[in-house]
Amino acid sequence: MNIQEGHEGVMEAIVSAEQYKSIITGIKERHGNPSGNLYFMYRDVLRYIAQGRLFAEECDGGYVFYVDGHTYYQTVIYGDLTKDFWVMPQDKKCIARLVYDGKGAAAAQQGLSCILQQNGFRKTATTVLVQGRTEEILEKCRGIERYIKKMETQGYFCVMAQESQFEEIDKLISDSGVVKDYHMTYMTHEEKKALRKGSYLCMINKDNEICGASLATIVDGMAQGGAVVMKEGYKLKGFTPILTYNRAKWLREQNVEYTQGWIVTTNVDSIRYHTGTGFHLMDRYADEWLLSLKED
Amino acid sequence: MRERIMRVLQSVNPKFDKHWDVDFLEEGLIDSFEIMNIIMELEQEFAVEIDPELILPENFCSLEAMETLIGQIAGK
Repeated sequence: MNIQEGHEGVMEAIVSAEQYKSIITGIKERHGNPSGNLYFMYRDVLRYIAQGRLFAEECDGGYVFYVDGHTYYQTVIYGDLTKDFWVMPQDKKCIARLVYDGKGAAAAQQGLSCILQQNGFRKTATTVLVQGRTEEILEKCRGIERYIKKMETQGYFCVMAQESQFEEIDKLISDSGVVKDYHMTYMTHEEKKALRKGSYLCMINKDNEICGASLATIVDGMAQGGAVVMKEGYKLKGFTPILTYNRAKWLREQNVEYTQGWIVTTNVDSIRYHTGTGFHLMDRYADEWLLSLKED
Repeated sequence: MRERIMRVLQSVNPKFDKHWDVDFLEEGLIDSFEIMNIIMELEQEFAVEIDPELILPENFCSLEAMETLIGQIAGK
């Protein structure tokens, strides 16, 4: 039986913190000790509401929340996982992440997997959390200065991107195929402008064209993301470690001690690169479940 | 020259040992971090300057390719 049958799939916009709190309180009253695939930080909730990006639909088991990420919905199931949930937005694909430690998925998470499967989601990847200490990354990249100088004499420079370059870098990252759109935290143009200068780094050639770029944001004193991508023709030129090194130098200036990011477990090249440059695999994983649009 | 290149590669990544007849890139023996170290070590070993335009996957995918590259630069 299709779990979605008989339901309309009507998402309600969450327009105030009070409305959100009321929903959460209601779930707790009706379902006791609710579980979910992801837990919102309250300040993120306020941000989503202010930007008109948070939606929800009530189901038998609780609520399904949708955070509009422009090209996708980040989907959060919250409530009694033994009951029914239906996920059926009509206009965008949905991504649900199930985070767990290396000991394996707990019973609640297995319940979530069932709910997602019943709704037509398919597991597309498992990602692993990597973490690097700024000083260790710099230590691993020791000796790179000579290489940087060599590249600079040939017109290749690592620079902090200008605001006018953000869009091109975003496109470079999304077109890379390495990083999916739903791996990148959606930011409005105003939020991008408000990022600390240096969050966007790029390698440019003598014609001031972007050859490669890196994006990292600082959240609660920790660097997040750190996507590094290269344009075709500039791969395997040693530009990636130059960006890694300059990123770490920038983080030291910002007094940021650690960087965290998620890597798809099958991307052995990336895991190897990161562990070779001072990152460590953490005992934390996230399964990614995708519900494509019917026409996809 | 080949032995000297082999020594450089082994100093950068000991896993090169016994893997001389494979495509270094396909086998994952070289990534962008290692290529940087290999270039710096080769430049020092052979007292040459490798132009960034020559830093292409096809010039570093095998021992033979590196030998040809260094030979061309040194012969200029």
